[in-house]
Amino acid sequence: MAIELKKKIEELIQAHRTNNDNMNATMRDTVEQFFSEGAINTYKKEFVSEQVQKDFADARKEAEVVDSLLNKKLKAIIEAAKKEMIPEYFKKAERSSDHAAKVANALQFLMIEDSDLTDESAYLILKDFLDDYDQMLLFKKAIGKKNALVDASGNTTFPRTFGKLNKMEAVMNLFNEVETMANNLFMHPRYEGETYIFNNQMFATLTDGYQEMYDEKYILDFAETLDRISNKLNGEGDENTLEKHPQLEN
Amino acid sequence: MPDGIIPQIDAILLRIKANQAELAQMRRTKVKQRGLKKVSMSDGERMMLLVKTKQKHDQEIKNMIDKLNLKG
Repeated sequence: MAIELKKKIEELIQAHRTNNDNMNATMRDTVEQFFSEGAINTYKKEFVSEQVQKDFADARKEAEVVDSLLNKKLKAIIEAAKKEMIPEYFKKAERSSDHAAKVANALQFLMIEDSDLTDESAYLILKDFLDDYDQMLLFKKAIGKKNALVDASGNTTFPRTFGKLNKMEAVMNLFNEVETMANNLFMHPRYEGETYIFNNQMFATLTDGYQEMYDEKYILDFAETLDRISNKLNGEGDENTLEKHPQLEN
Repeated sequence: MPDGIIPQIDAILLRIKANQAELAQMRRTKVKQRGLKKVSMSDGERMMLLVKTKQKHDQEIKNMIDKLNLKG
């Protein structure tokens, strides 16, 4: 099943923008209500200033509550997509009672092969551990001490043995990028938009800053890549997936 | 993050939206019901009503978020 991460993130970005628009509309309503000629003749200047300040602060606070909820939802969506794409990472591998002995044996064989180790022999030695993400990561590090894990063109030299692990690592790295951007995506400081001056006081509507636009663009790019990889893994891929991530070819 | 948090967040967001709509409606209302009659409402009355309703909404949302944070 496709994870449709990009679509889900786009919906949240849209909700965040609508939230911004609502906040600014409330601020403009307040300005219209109190800065009209009728209101200026009815209320004291100090009361108007105080009321506008309070209404602006309320609108901002409410928008911030919505943004923090949207950010929370974003993180939950990313985590759900991660669980769907790489369930092995979350699932504790089933280990038999003689797991330690099997690991010791495998290490012995790897040591005997030493720098002559080939993909074929590594696969035969480690085939019982292929689904154990943590264990394979340790084996990969151990093999990497004596053998080159990639060739001069950057292709893996152990496609059969570490193909699955490499795919997972590539996906994990992308998720790490997405998660880093998602941490505060909708919580960036806002900047002043339209300004109003009344009774020597300035009031301003608020707008998103450049950093937020930048992060939104890049998180969507990463989400699109993850969607492509997910489609590819589900047999619905396109050629761009392999072009951008050659490690997925194995 | 526990499973099922997304529908809870959606429920809070929907609640906020409904509350905002209710407040917007109140801001536009110029009359109030007195018995069978509709009589005009002063700005002061409307402001008081808005403040009270907003406080009630804020408390309601705060409780929902607290509940969410306890689970999350």
